[in-house]
Amino acid sequence: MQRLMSGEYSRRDFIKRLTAVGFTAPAVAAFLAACGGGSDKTPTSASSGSTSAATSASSGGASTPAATSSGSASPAASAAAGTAVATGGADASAGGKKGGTLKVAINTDLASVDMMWGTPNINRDVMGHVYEFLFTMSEKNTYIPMLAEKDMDISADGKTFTITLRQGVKFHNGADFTSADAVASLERWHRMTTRGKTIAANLTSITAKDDHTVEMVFSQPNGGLLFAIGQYGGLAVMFPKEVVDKYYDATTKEDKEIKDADAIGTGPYKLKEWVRDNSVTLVRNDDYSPRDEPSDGRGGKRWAYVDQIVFTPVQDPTTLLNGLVSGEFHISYASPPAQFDQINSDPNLVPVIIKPGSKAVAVFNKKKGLGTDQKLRQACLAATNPQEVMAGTIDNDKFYACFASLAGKEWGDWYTETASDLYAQNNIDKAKQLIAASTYKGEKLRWITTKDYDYMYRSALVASKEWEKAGINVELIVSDWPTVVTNRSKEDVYDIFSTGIGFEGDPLGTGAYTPSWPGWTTSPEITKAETALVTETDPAKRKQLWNDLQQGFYDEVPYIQFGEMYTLRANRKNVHNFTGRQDLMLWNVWLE
Amino acid sequence: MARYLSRRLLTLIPLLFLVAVIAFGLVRMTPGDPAAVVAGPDATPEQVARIRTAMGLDRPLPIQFVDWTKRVFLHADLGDSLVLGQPVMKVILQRAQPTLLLAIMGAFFTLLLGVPTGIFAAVRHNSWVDRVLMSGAIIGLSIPNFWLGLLLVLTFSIHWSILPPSGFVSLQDGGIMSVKYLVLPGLAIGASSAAFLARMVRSSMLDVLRQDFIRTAKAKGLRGRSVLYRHALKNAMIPPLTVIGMLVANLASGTVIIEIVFNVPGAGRLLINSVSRRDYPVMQGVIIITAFIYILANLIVDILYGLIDPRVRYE
Repeated sequence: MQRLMSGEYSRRDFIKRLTAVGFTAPAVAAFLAACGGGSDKTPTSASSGSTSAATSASSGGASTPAATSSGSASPAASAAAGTAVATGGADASAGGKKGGTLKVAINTDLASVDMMWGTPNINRDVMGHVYEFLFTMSEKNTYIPMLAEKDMDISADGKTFTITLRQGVKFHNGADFTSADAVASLERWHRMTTRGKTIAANLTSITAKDDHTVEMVFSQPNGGLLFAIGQYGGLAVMFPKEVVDKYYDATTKEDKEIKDADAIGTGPYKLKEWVRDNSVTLVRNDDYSPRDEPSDGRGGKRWAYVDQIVFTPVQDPTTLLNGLVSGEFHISYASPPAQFDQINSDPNLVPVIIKPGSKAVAVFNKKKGLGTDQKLRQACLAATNPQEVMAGTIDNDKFYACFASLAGKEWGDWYTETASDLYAQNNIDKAKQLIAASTYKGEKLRWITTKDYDYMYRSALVASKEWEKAGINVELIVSDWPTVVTNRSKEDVYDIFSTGIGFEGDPLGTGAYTPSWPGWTTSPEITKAETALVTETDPAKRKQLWNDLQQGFYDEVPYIQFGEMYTLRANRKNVHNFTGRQDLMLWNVWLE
Repeated sequence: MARYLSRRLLTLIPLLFLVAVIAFGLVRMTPGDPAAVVAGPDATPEQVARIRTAMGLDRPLPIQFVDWTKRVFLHADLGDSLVLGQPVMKVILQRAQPTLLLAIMGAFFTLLLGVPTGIFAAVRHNSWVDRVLMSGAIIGLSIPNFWLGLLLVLTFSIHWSILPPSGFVSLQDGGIMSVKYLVLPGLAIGASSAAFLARMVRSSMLDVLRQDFIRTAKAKGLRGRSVLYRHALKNAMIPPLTVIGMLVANLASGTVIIEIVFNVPGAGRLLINSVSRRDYPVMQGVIIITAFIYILANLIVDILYGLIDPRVRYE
């Protein structure tokens, strides 16, 4: 610059030198390398960064009331105390080829490596390969031992549960998995998670009887424990005790979020790296201690064929599909139903329809405002034609089903026809009569919804048009999902909100019927059934309580269930043994 | 010039502070709770409250603002991401490489396509060449760049399989071959910018070619190429220089839609994702860095004016 100013360089010379410097590739490359960037060997993509899954989707299993435990001392705890895994049968997952990197395109980035920290489905679908549970779900939707050696022993009064742990299981850091780790993990689960606080509300103690025996004692009989600690969404995974202690503040009695370096589990894969908004890489745990039984649902032997699994968030569905078609990805975690025909017609791709799913619902604000009027809610239910709503919501009729039961047929005996005559009424006249009996005077119901989840907006749009025929006026307030999540906790700002609700395998699996969940359901009939379900251990009685709950649901109408939605996943043909379970399971998948 | 530079650099701090105040205020005014986003839809109010406390969002807003501005302006620390659990500066720097590489590639195609097109159109003014090129420029301006991006993917990735459809590989991992991931997104961005630049260059060249000194140069017997590139172009590039500066600044701060279509982990997507997650520190950090880039780009353009045009003097 100085030489230019002094006239030593002409402007032409200066500009030439500047151009040469500016385009010096090594200098540019060195600078950019110093800035850092993706360090993955495989193509990476930034996160979708979308909000966590809107739906409290079920995890692909059922605790059927009828199943009983073999080897337990007393009444089966909860439905499906877990039959022993069938032995001697052929393992359909055996015989795969080891090796390769499995590339999975997911829709949102991981929210945390700590499965107990939050509830987004993607956390458990990714980290479910790193951590394990004491019990887990079989192919027949019963609960079977995983890190436990055998089924739980339950005392005659249903209050004491003894869990015998497997021996020789190691964490990823080489330490043995013992009862001290199980106790610490269960205590953390009890402190932090919804199931831990509700289903285990009457827990009085968790103790390690010896290195491989844990005893849980309740003040009341507990009918939901096996479900609570075995079901995928219960999040009762096992951490090393030292990790639990490291992230627990004894002074404030608060648990902190476990960070990447301490994401240590016993699973067939371990966390190698999480580059935020970019990718999550898991590598095979070569010191994994598998069970001996054949693979059975989420239980039995976990083969861990592929060397590495890379999860890449891809925000745009078209980009994801292009990646699948071109071979950049092996598996799509979720694609829009509208892409089914295109995927199905591609000779290299296999579409997979995931059932069961979540239900598109409209939840009333029963604490304040127009939604407090039960007759009005019943009128909205009477005016609804669920088939029409779902046809307007989902583009392909393979991806939805309409039924009254709060649990679909995949959930075995939890499926019920109680009060089903109140479901698809499509009766405008009845709706008008109910309105006449209500306090409703034609005001606008404020319905908060979002286009971030297409089904929420579309179901709200179609349903509101149906209700208008009965004289029910609706104002759709559309915002993004974080705003809906925030506003649904504010009783003054809405009358209805859109969301998705799944059946998680047991009536106690969702908080949607409880007073604390947004919408604030305080129906005596529902609450009575819910409360009794926690302590009822007899499967037949639990089934009756569930029927009572559903009857209460259709009398009270805390929310309107339009229909169940199914997810479209897809894999390339060189991917083998990719199952249609909703909970993502990649340890038995192998690549051609 | 030195005094001018010092003055401009000194105004940087108050400008950035103003941006910081606006960024903080606007971001906090948006509805939505980052704690609820992290906790997930099934979380209890207690779980959300616990996470909100861990994030420090339960403190009064003025306290949060003072803490944040002290960190930014006294320690050059943009804070920690509420959602990603990492320092904001680290989060942004992780995206610097893909963003800058994409910006360079976009600028490359912009200049490669835009400048020659404008020059040819001006030189062949009112001929069929001019009309074809300017029609192409109109089409380039009209086509949404994300649609063009999808067309490019369909052609080069799906049908011909010669370029990858999406993703990004860093220079450390892929070396020079990582450039192939940037060709299609760079072209998608560059096409519309090139169209705009071509029209500017053409218009500016036409003005300069009508000047007396060009007539003099031709009368002196200088060759056409010499007249065009040594005399006319330099003068004609002064107005488009501003546009180039702003285009590059725009690219350097991230191109959201192209990053989403091509799954490039750049700063544009980071901003959109942080808005979705209500990750306040990241939103504020990206806004401040973007403002800094624009201010810097303006300054560089002004300096270049002084270098290229001897009539421009800064005191």
